[in-house]
Amino acid sequence: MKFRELHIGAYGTFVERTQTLEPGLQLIFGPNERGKSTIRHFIGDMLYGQKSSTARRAYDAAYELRKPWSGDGTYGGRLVYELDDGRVIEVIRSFLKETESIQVFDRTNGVDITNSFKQLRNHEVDFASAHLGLSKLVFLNVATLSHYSLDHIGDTPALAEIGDKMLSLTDSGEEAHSAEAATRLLEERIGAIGRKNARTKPLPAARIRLAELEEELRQARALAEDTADLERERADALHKLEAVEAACTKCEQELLVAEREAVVRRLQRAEEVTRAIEEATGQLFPLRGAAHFPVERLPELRRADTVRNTAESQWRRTQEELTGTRGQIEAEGGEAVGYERHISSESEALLTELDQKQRSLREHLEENEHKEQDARDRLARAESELTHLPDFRGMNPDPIACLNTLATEAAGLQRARKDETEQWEDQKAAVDRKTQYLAKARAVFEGRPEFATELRDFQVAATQHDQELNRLRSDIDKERAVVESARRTVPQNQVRGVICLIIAILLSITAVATHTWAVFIPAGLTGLATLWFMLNLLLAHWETRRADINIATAERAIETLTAEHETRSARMHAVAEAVDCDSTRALEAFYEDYREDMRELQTLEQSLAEQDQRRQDAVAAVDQFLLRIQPQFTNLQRPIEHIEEMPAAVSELITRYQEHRDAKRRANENREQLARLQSERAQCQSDLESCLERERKLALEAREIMRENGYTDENKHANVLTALRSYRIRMAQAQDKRGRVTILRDKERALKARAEKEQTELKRAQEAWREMTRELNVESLAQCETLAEEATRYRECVERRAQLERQLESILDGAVLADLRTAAAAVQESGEGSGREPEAIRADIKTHEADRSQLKDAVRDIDTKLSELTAGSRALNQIEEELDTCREQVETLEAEWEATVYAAALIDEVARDKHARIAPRMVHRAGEYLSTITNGAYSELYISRDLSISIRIPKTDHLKEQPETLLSKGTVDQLYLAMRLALLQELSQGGESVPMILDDPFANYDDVRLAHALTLLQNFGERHQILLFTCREDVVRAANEQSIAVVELKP
Amino acid sequence: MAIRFVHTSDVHLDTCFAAGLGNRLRQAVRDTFRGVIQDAVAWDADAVLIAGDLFEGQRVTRDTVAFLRHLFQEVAPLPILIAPGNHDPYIDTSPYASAAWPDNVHIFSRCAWDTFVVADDAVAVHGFAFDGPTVSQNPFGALTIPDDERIHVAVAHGSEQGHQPPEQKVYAPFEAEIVAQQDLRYLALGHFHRYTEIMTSSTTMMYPGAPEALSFKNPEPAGHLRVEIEPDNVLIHRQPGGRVIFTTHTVDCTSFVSSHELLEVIRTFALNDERLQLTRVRLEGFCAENIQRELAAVRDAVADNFLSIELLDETQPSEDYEALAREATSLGAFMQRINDQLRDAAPEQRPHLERVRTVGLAAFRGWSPPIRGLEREQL
Repeated sequence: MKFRELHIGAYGTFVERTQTLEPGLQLIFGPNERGKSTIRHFIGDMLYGQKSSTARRAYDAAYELRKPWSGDGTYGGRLVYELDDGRVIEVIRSFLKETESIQVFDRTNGVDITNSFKQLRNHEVDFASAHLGLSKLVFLNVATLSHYSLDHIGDTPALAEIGDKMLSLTDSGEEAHSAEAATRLLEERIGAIGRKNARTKPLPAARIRLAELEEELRQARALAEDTADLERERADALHKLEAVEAACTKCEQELLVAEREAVVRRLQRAEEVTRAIEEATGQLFPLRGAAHFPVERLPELRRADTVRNTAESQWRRTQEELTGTRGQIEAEGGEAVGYERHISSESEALLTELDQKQRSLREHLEENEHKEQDARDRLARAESELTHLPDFRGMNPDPIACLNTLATEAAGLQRARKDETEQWEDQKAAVDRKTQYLAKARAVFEGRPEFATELRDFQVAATQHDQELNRLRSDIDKERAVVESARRTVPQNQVRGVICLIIAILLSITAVATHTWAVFIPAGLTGLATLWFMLNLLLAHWETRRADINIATAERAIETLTAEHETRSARMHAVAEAVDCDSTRALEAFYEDYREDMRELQTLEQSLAEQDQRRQDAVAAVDQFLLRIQPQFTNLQRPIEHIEEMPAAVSELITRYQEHRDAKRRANENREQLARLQSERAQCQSDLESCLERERKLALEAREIMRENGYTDENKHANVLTALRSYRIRMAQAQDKRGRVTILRDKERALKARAEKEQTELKRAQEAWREMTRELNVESLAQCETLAEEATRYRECVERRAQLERQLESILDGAVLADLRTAAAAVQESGEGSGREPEAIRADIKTHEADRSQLKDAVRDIDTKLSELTAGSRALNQIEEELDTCREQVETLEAEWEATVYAAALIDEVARDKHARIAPRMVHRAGEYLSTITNGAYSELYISRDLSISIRIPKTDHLKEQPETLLSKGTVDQLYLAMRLALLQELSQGGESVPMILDDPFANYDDVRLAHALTLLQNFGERHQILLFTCREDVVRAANEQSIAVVELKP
Repeated sequence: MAIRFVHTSDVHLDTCFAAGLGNRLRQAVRDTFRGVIQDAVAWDADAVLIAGDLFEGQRVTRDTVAFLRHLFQEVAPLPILIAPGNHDPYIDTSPYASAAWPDNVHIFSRCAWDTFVVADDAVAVHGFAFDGPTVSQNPFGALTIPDDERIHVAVAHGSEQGHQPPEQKVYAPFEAEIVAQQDLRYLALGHFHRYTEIMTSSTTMMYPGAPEALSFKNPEPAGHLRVEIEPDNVLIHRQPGGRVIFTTHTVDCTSFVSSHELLEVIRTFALNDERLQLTRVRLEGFCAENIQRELAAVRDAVADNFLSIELLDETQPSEDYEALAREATSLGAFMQRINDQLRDAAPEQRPHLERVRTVGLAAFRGWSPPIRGLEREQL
């Protein structure tokens, strides 16, 4: 793609501005505030719009920022560009929200193609991505390069940063976000969610909690089953209780009936009782000795004995417990002494603050020392480097300018020398060529100054010779024609003569024979004819002879002429052959040329002599210059022998100067930093001392308090805070112990009181026992029990008798036996009865009451068990609620963990693929580009798959993986440019050639490398259009020198 | 003279809520039920009809049983008639069977119609109990009303098929018209958590709904019913109750520039009264990345205005994933790969892959979305 024209309706400062753009490299020059960045943004906005996201219609900040300042014109414009396939596309946009519109025209085919592109969710037409194959983000970040991109690349981690930037651009289209960083972020996220063994992290912790809750739920359910059983038991018991109570009520009712039946039995029993009374009276006599023994006091005595024994054993137990408690108090009390006074929280806070401040100051001091050491090291390195580097003070104020001036001067002188030499050589070559060209001719013509006359004479002679020869040949031809004619007639005449002779003879013979004379006439005529013919033969012979003589003469003359001519011609031909002429005319022309060439040769030789003089002057100037600068360069540790070494030497010295400047800058910076750090350290030291002093005072007070409070170990703590912490722990322990001692003392007091009480009780019991034995006149419980047994039996008899008497009274119930008999007779007559004895019924009632009591006890026991079982357990719903939440959290966290792990793996995989494909090609291209920019100074560049950069340093010839310290800022910039060009080429591989917009990327380039960089961009521009914005006139000058199109932005 | 009943159901004492809120909400349910019983006393009702799901059988605590016993004891001799439902079936382990209830409490204990007479023998209340999580037999068809002078009322737990809410399961299904063929004046029903009125020609059937709001499905308390049965008429008076309210709101975040605007909108949802408000806010539209990053903070900032608040981020993605997939970068390759996988993914895999895409894209953009499940911890 190549931008051909842009028309800005209204955009930022521009109103109705049209700018035509050229293919290839084009330099757009304008001072600051002229609108270079505006044009850059305009192109981006025209291509991709101003939406902040591909999914939302919200506008980014550019919308307000680029609104027309003046308010005139339509916020928008037109952009015309040409695709690689030759189609010309025109984009017309209006950015204003209310009238926002876009139209894309294919001007080559004259059609509106707006609707042929996919519409994004932000309602933008995605034509630019379709044409460039790059999204907005990637285009803006990859195809645009400004010095801002380079600003934050520091010296030290430069290559790593470039590698990161390249990775990030490759990965996300943004310089700040690489796949590696993304993977790192995801790894942190995985860590935050929690790996398997990180028990404190949320996911493992939640899993542990889930397991605990499941266990708790299981236990709670089991408990619920247990409690349900108990509840059932309880309910059963309650039901039984109800049944027992009902049975009890029934028995009581039955008792009433039974008692009525009892009347009959009363009579029977009354009679039986009467008999029994009498029998009992008979049994009393043998036992009367123990009759007065107070048996009823036996339980009292037993109780007293039991009470005494119990009191004694209780008192002993209490004593033992008291002894134990005292022992505990003694044991605990000793440790609980002291530690009563609190150190005020303000003091402690102050101490903590002071301690933290101290620590902070010490850390600061330590860090400061490290920094100082680092600064010293760096300073030493820088100074060491400075010592190894040439001293450029002789070239102040600006060694680069000075070196560049010298380089320029040297180049000028060299160029002059070269030009003069070349011209001299050219001229000499021309002279030589001419001399060589004329060598043959000179050999021929030299010494023949009248060759022209000679030639003319030769030509005249030749002409005459030719004329004479022609005449002679004409004569010969004539003679030969005569001879020929004569010879042609001879046979005829001979034949005719012979014939005539024969005829004449014959006629004569005939005439003689016949004697016809008349025949003689024809014979005579024939004879005459024969004579005629003979005469003709003779004439012909004569003519032939004369002609032969003439011919011979003429031929001789020709031979003579020819010989003469050949002699002359041979001489002339020899000359002609010598100069490769095939004719005299050519020779004449050649001679004319020769004479002309000779004149030229003379001119050339004269000129050559003059040029030689100039050459010698130029050489002398170079030598003088060399002599002048050699000491300087020798001083700069770069001796030069030849002027040709100047560019390399200057380049090297500039590099060294840059290194020197960098080293000096680093030295100054480090010196300043050192001074600052020292000052900071002094300040820190002072603050620390002040801190220490304050802390000392506070510490003394605190330590005194601690000592006063019995904390003797405080001196074992160097730090008062640790002593304080220890003191606080001791205090807490002491407090705890004091608490325990207090409890124990309370217990002791209680035990003491109880022991005293029990002792009193014991004494009272013993006294009671003694009193009782005295009263009973016995000595032991056994004696007493024997007497009691007898007395009991006596009493039982008495009692039985009395009971029988009472029973009788009871049976009679105030009545007399006769009345009872009457009543019994009446009951027997009525026939009513329960069939059971009242006593049995009473016994049943008692049984029921016992059952009721047991059941009540059972219910109480169950209640107790239930209380015990459920104590400390949570309700099922509480556990389930937490379990649900916890389970949901585990599931959610597991889903998050899996999603994160998968995302990380996928990113890693795609990034590896991407890097593996891109890196080798980038290495190759970037290496070439860097070599071009640095004129071969850095040609060996290596980039690994993760785009970490290594470079061979010419100075050391070592391949450095992290050669940042050896590279100047300019070289780093150049490396970055080389890699960006390579990346752009990589990203547009196989697709549309992406135009590139560079905004003043040459801030740190020297003139030489600037020129090389421009050359590189010019070459690069053959495929990718490059819009190079600059505000620097030196760049413009360099561009002009290389015939690069320059456009100046008008205000 | 009219016969008066207080009718309630689906109290769900001891039910589960979201963790951290359960105790407060369960106490609110108890308070509400206590209010129902006290209203019966205040209104001088002849009986209280509880149509099932008084409590959650598996979760009910001894304390709740004690609370109920004490509460019912307090209002004795007011008859409390309980027809156990699917959540509190009458089984051996149920407190209905194991606890000793006051004499004024009558619990229907069989999965067949039983009758209990109240109001001086003037009213016969028929009822049946669930004998398990589902009834072993459906007794609705077996209801037979004797032809006597009494007023016949029934109390039961089940689903009237014509009014069955879709969100609730069907238990003991029956048709109102069939039941209406019996000479039944009033059928006190339970199971539907929303107030539902079923009027037939002869029988009035009512679902009072849950007296307290229990979830976002039934966001407001339905209260309970005062039922007045006159010789010729049945009067129903709905009584409000409950102080728990679940509210759901939807917010379109498209126009928001910062989280503060979202915060202000959410604050307007607060009721600011005595009620316990649980709120769920669905975020829709496009949400700027900066707001998304602050959602946890927003939730925390408005937490004081509600008993609980839940933000559901259902906003649309802020980037065009298909456009990103066309980029010639690793990000583009990643998006292309994940988009392809999403196209071929089964529905249950889609949420996982969508999350992978969100997390991966955010990582490429240099940030990490809040970890789900840790929203509170991350603050």
